[in-house]
This record gives sequence, structure tokens and C-alpha cells, in this order.
Amino acid sequence: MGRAGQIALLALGLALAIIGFAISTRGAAQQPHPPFTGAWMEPRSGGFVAIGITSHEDSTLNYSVELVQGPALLHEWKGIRLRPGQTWQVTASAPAGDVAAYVFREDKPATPYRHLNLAADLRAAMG
Amino acid sequence: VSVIVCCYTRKRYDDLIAAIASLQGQTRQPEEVIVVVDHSPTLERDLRRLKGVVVIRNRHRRGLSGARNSGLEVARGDVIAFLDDDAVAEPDWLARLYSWYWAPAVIGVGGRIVPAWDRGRPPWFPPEFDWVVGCSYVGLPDKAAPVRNLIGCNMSFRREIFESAGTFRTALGRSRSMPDGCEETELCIRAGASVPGSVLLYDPEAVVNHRIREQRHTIRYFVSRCFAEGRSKALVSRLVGAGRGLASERAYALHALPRGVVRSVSRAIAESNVAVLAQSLAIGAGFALTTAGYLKGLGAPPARPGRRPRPLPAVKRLRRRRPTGRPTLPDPPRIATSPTVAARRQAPVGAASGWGWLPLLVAAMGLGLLVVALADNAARFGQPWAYWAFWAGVLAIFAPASVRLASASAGRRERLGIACALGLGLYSVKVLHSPTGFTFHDELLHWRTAQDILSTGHLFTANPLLPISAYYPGLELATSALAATHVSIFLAGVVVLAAARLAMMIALFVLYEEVSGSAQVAGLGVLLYAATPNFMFWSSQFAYESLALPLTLVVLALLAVRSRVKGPRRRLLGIVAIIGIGYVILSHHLTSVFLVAFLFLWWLGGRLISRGTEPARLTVPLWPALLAASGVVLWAIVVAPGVIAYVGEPLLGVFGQLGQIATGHAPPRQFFTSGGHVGPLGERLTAVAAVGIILAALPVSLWVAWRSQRRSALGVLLVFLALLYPPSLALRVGPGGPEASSRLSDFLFIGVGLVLAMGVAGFWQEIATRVRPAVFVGAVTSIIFVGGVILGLGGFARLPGPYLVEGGPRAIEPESQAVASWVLAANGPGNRVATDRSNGLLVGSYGQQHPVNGLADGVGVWPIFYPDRWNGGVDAVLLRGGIRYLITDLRLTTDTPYDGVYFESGEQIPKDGYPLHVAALTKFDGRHGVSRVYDSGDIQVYDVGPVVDALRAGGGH
Repeated sequence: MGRAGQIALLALGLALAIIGFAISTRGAAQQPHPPFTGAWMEPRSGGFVAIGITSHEDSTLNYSVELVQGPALLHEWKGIRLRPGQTWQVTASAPAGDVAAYVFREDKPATPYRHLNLAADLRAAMG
Repeated sequence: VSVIVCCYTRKRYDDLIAAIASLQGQTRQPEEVIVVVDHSPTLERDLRRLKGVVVIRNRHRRGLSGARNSGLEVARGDVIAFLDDDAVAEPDWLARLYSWYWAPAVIGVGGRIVPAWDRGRPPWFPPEFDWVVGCSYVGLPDKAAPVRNLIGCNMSFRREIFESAGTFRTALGRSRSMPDGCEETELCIRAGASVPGSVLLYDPEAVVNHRIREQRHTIRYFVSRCFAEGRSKALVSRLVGAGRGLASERAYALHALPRGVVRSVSRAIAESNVAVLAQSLAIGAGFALTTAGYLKGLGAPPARPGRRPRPLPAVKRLRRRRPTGRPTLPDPPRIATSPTVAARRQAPVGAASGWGWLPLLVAAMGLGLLVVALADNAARFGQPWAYWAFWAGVLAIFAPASVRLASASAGRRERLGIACALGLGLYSVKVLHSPTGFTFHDELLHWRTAQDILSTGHLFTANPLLPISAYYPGLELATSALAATHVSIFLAGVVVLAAARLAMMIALFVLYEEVSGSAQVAGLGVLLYAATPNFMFWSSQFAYESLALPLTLVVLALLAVRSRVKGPRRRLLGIVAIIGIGYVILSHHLTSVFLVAFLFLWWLGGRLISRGTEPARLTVPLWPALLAASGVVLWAIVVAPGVIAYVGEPLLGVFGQLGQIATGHAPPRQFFTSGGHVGPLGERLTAVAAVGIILAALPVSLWVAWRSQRRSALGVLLVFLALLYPPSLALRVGPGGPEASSRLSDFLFIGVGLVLAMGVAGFWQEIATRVRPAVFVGAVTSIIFVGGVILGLGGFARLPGPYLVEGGPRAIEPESQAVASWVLAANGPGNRVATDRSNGLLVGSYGQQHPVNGLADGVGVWPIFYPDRWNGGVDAVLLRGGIRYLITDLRLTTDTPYDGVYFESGEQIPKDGYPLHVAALTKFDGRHGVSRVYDSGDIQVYDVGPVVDALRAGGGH
């Protein structure tokens, strides 16, 4: 085999490897994972709480959020529309004591989709 | 090497001087040239004036055999070569002869003798009868191959042959008055019989030019020599038996001579040259005369064969004068014992240069990587064919390379190129697995150290994931330096490790080549090392040993090369080796300890071997070992005082487990099972076959390697390493054993690779008579490689894919990564967290938190998570660990852990707690003082700060 043929084969091997890397990189980025939504609640000073949602779902979803203290509904947010990767957050006031937040998917409103709570001690520590 | 030149007459003085000059101009200089004067005082007196040669007189009866024996009695070389006094050797003659002696089976090597006719070849003189004038003739192999006997003008033998089989028979051989011969034929047959399986090689590229004086151009001389040869053959047949004595002659008479007749007739017709036609007549006449001489010899009363030659006594050997440069010779071919096998296995001499098959193999490797990439993608999308595609791609990388490296015909540059391409190709398989970020367990530990260096700008920042990593930051330092040029740590790490892998392959090749003297053995050794369980995945991951081991091999290769060079280059190699030793110490604790031990044993081996009759080869001075030992100890005292506990405790644990198993206090581990998951039957069988092949091949390979390396300090040490491999497998019966055994094999395979390669090259190819040897070796090494991959990494982790519970890289996925990112963003770095192994890795690396664990904090967190109800044990661990956040992952309740543990090694699992109960992970909900601050469905984050504060305050909870 001549030098040109050898160089061509070397180039072919390198090209195939590079294509392989490109394919694998693209595949890793597109790998399907179970969709999920992350929700959080944190105490803030002055009797406030911060609530947030980040959607990692497959498609746009509508959420609603309820902030409760025992049986009392303190705040309710509806029609929160999030595209995949989008985040929603809010800060709200709440009386001292334990509080809980429930995140609902509006297409499945019967069951809380996410559940959070802040203990009174934690909120008190925040001041 | 000693070279013996025998002479008997002043008339050939000029020829003798030319012969000696040709020896002094060899690329591979002989250690001594011995000129034996056969009862000629005048000549002896003249020769005494010569410098650079040892002149002795024949102490035996007059004749060539006696003269040669006199030379043998004073020669001290390992290899003793003979050159006629009227022959001139080509400059690479000795280098070529000597290059074959790497193979233990080779007991003698001879070369081509080209007639240098004073008046040109007589037209009637057939090339088939050049043996008449002591030259190579048509009928001998035209490529390097085993033969029955060598020709005295150009031949060499191992010294041991004369020590075991005796010297030349003085009753045979030429003298002034008698044109007899066959003394070397008889010796060769006797030597071959004394060493079963041994080989005499004829290499037509090792050339001497033999002067044919005018008086030998005559028909009269032709007649007398043919007749005398037949008579000598008869005597040899009486001594060794007609079967062996005439085996070559039968083939010669049946094939070479008829072809010679046909050739001369056709040439005479083509050239209309009647004189050429006379060659066919000469062939017939010569055959008839030789036969007549043979019959006369048989019919004559048995001549006294003389005393059976006495074995040569052992003498103090010469120190080998190592060549200053490696001769660019083709590899010696594998050694065959039958002509048919030999014919198939001959090395095409002259194929030493060029890239050979390398471009084709690179193309095959590119194709293999493409197939692996497709397999990875298929696995990501849950396609069942991914498994088989993966193995097809990996074998497309390994198998063709293994076949070519096993082949005798590849050149050195080609082999080195293939070794490098193979190393990088297999490394790329690992990169293709996770092409966008680190996902393997240890990678995330070291990512944290690299990130700490980059973010703080200084070394030794505490790393809670792997505290010791911060104190051995060689890899992270190099990576951070590259990452400082605005590339990611991931990309920088991939580049650094690719360079390390390349250096590793080159260093291993050079090391093996220095020891064996053969590029074929070097290539095979690298190939077999690539079959180490850890090579493809574990040693390719971003972890400190992945840099330290290649650097160690570079240091060893540098010191091996240094042992044979002189002058400024030697100093330079020493300086680079010192830098390398320093960086190994900076990079990894166990590897640096291995390096110290290796260097000490290498030095010690040299000392012990040199106590014998001969000096040791490939030695190392004491200073590298002292330097490395001082560095390791100082580093451990000044920088990393915790290293002894870190390394020692797990080691003691492994041996403790073995002790318990041996005494019946604990059951042995179930092989091929991790966390209750059993590997496929095919994989189990392949892994067992791979280990079985190695164990079966080792004894003979060790013997072959020992025979050729017993005077090499480095070679002996590598043989010793290989000896440790079988007992190291015992570690696998303990729970922590597979990891320890695989890690140990990274070091032991440095010896195993060489030993098996020498075994393959020197012996094992002999058993492959029904298939092409290279294909056979390629197939066997491919099984070893596949078995190694299976042993090195669980099947669940070899390919990417959907989430698996504690499935190593399969547990590194977006939901856990989102939690790690949220914890950092919401709460800042450094909070003390209790969670499972995979979430701990992510929250400790990308999340920059402090996952509490037994290794870093002395507190195992599993008692928090295993019980279904909150109890005092939970309180105790929360308090001792100073935990602020708990992270639970409900997916852990769906399966047993693929990596074997949910939380960390040594976790104590309740009897019914496997897999984890849902209640065990949800017990924190609604607990007084506990806040559920994050929820992503599978994963929850609990803030237990108030609970721990209350416990600290002594109020209980």
C-alpha cells in the first residue's frame, strides 16, 4: 500500500472515531430520563417563606400551589404555567409556626404532586 | 559475544586481517575476538602484534575441530560465534545473529555465506553445490527459518550448548591434507538432541562473504570435496544415526537438485549457453560422487570417532557490552520445530520499516469506536442489541491489533504504533461512555479536588468525599493547570489522561523491549497488559492512580534505558526519572509505595545476581530507590499524615476478612454477584476462562522467561511480579477482595504481561499448528481481554442507560444532579449532609457540600436510614455527625444496590432491611422539628438542624 493509501486509512480511522464521539455526545444529551418537577420551600426572615418550582417535565405543565398552616389556607397560586427548564418562585408571608406547601398539577388536581413543610423551630431560627 | 577465528597458514594472512577488521567494524561489537592458530608458529608470531584480539594456539590435534575447541576453552561469551579466516562479515552480521537469542529455544544461529570468487563463478559450477566451497547453497531457506545444522564459516551457539553437549569432535573436520567436513553438522545434531525443543536458526540476512580462491574453482576440487563430504556424512550417520544424519540431505536431493537441473537446462536454452547446461551435469556428477563417498564411508571399517567430546567447563562470563543504539532489525520470527510450520511462520526480513498494518488497524479501531458509540446510544435508549454491539465494537478495536502484534512479520515502529493506538482506543471506549461529564464514582471524588484547587487557588483544601485525595493532587494539579485556560475540568481531565495513556503505552513497550530485546515480545506484552481487568474502564477514569501508574512506568522505562547508555544522555535520563519519581509521589500513595518497593528489589536483584559467576544485566543503582523512599516518607509525614491509616485499614480489613473466611467464621463471597445481582452465565464462563488461560499459560511462560532473564535484574523482578499473580486471586474470595485484587493486578500485570508475552513468543505458538499462529494467539488474548473487562467492571456499568439503584455511573442522572445544584444554590457550600452513596457523590462534588461518611468523619450514616422508625440510633448519628440535611431517595426502595452498598462499605444491613423499606425513608415526614425543604418526587431534602440543635442542647427530641 502506498503512502497515500496509508494516510487515507489513518484519516478514515480518525474520522470514524470523531463521528463516534459526536454521536455519543449527542446521544448523551438526548438520553431520555424520567421527567420530574423540583419544588422547594425555605424560611425567610420577617415571617416570610420562599416557595419555588422548577419543571424538568417533558412538556409544558400548569401547576397550582397552596400554602397552609394546619387546616388554614394561607395563600393559593393557580395557573402557574412552566415550560421544561423554567422556574417559578414566590415569597409570601406566613404566621409563626409550622407551615406546609402543596404543589398540584392542574391536570391531576386530586393528589398533591409535591409536598413541603417548614417546622416552626426552623422558621424561628431564621428570625 | 565471543567470536572465534581459526587459521593455519601465513598465506591467508591478508584475508585474516580483513576478517578481523570486519569484526571490529560490527554495529554490535563482540566482547572478544579469539584467533586460534592451528600449529603455525610463524603465523602465531605475526599475529601476536595485533591489538584488540586474543591470539592462542591450538592445544589439540591439528585440524579445524581442535582449533575451534581451543578457542572455546578460552571464550567467555554467552554466545560464541565462528567466522572463517577467509571470510568478511557484513557490519550487521553479529547484531543479526545475536538478536535471535532472546528466544530461549534458540540454541544456535547461522547466516548466509556468499561466495566471493577470485575469478568469478565458473559457469559449470551449480549454486546448489556451493556447499562444496563452504558457502550457502540453493536449497537453504531464503528467509529466516529453523535448520538441522549450521555452516561453520558463519555460525554461532549458546555457550551452554558446549557445556552440556560437548565440543567439536576432533575426529571429524577438515585438516590441511583432508577436505573432510561435517564436524559442525555432527555438533548441531548432538546439540539439538541434548536440548529437547531447541532450535537452530538460519538467517540469510546475517551475511558473510567467503573468499573462494582459484585453486577451488577447479573440477578436481569439486570432485574431491563431493566425495569427502559423502564420506564425512557416513561417519556422522554412524555417530548420530542415519535418520537424523541424512534428514536434510534427503529433502535436498529430492527437491533442490531436480529443480537445479531444470533451472540450468531452461536457462541454457533461454541463453543459448552450453556452459550453463554443464551445471546440470555437475549436479548429477556431484550427487553421484557424494553418494559414492557415502557408500565408501559406510563400507569402510569403522573409523575411531575419537573420544566423546568433553563438556566445556563453566567460566566467568563476560559482562555484556550493550549496544549504544538499538539496531534496526526485524523481529526474530517465532520458533518452529517442523519445516512446514516454520515455512508458514517465517518473518519477512526487511519488513521492519514502515507502518505496516497500522493504518488499517487504526481504521478498524475507528470503526470499533463508532460501533461502541452506537451501542452506547442504543443503551441510553434501552435497545437490547446494545450489549452485543458493545462487545463487537470493543473486539474490533482489540482483536485485529492482537493478531497483528502476535504476528512475526510486523516491524518495530508498526508494533509501537499499534500499542499506542490500542491504548488510546480502549481509553476512548471509556470516554464514549460518558462524553459530557464525569460519572464514575472516583471521578467525582477527584473532580471535587480539582474544583477546590481552581476555586481556592491553593492545594490541600479538605475534600470530604475523599480526604486523602487533597494531599495527592498530581492529577488535579495538571488538570487544573489546563482548565485554567478556560476549558472545563472534564475536558482538561480527559486530555491529561489521554496523554498519560499514550505515555503509558510507550513506556511499557520500551520497558518490555529493554528486557526482552524483542519488539514482538514488547508488543505482545503491552497487548496482554491491556487485558488487565482495570485497563479499559477503571484505569481510564479521572482518578489519581490513572496518572500515577503511567508515570511509574515511564520512570521504570527511563531507568531501564539509562542502564545501557552513557554520557550526557544517561544524565538526562536520570534527571527526568527523578522528576518522574517526584510527580508519582505527588500523585498517589500506593503507586509511590509500589515504585519504592520495585526500585529497591530491582537494585537488590542486581546485587544478588552479580554475586554469581557473571555480572547482572539491566541493573539499577540504589539512589533512585533511596530518593523515592525518602520522598514517600517525607510526604507522608509532612503533607499527608493520614495516609497510613487510609491505606492500612482497608488492607488490614481485606486480610481480616480472608482470615475469617479461612477459619470458617465468615462465608466466602459469592463470585460474580453484587448487591444480589448476578452476572450472565456467558460472562461468568468467559471470566473464568480468561483467568484459567492465564493460570495455565503461566508455568511454562515463567520457565521460558526465567531461562532468558535469570541474569537480568529487571527481568527477574518482573518474573517475580508475575509469580505473585496466582496467589493474589485469593483476595477475590473476600467481600472487599475483587477491588483489591483488580487494583493489585494493575501492578502485577507489569510482570504477567512480559512473562506471558515471552511464553507466547517462545513456546505457546508452537501448539498452534492447525491454525495460523497469530490468529490463535489473537483469539486467546481476546478471550483474556474480554474476561478482564468482565472482571473489572460490572455489566450494569459498562454501558450507559436508565437509572439503576446505586448503579455507579447509571445512578448519576438529572434528578440527583438537580438536587445537588439546588442545595448549593439555596444553602451555600459546606453543609453537613447525610445521604446515600450516589447522591452523596453528587452533593459532595457539584453541590460542594460535606456528605458525612465513615472515611472522612468516622461516622457511618446508614443507621439513620435503615430503621423503619425514628429511634435513639438515629439521634445518635445525627448528633455525632453534626448533620444539617438528610437527602432521601425513594428509588432505593425499588431494588438492591448494584454497587453492593446503599451508603458506604461496611454498612450493616438489618436482616429484613434489604432492599430498603419505604417506611425507612419516609419516617422523617411529620417528625417534630424536621422540615421537608425540597421534593422532586423521588428525592426529598430534610432540614434537621433544629433537631440536632436540640440534641446538642441536651434536651432530647
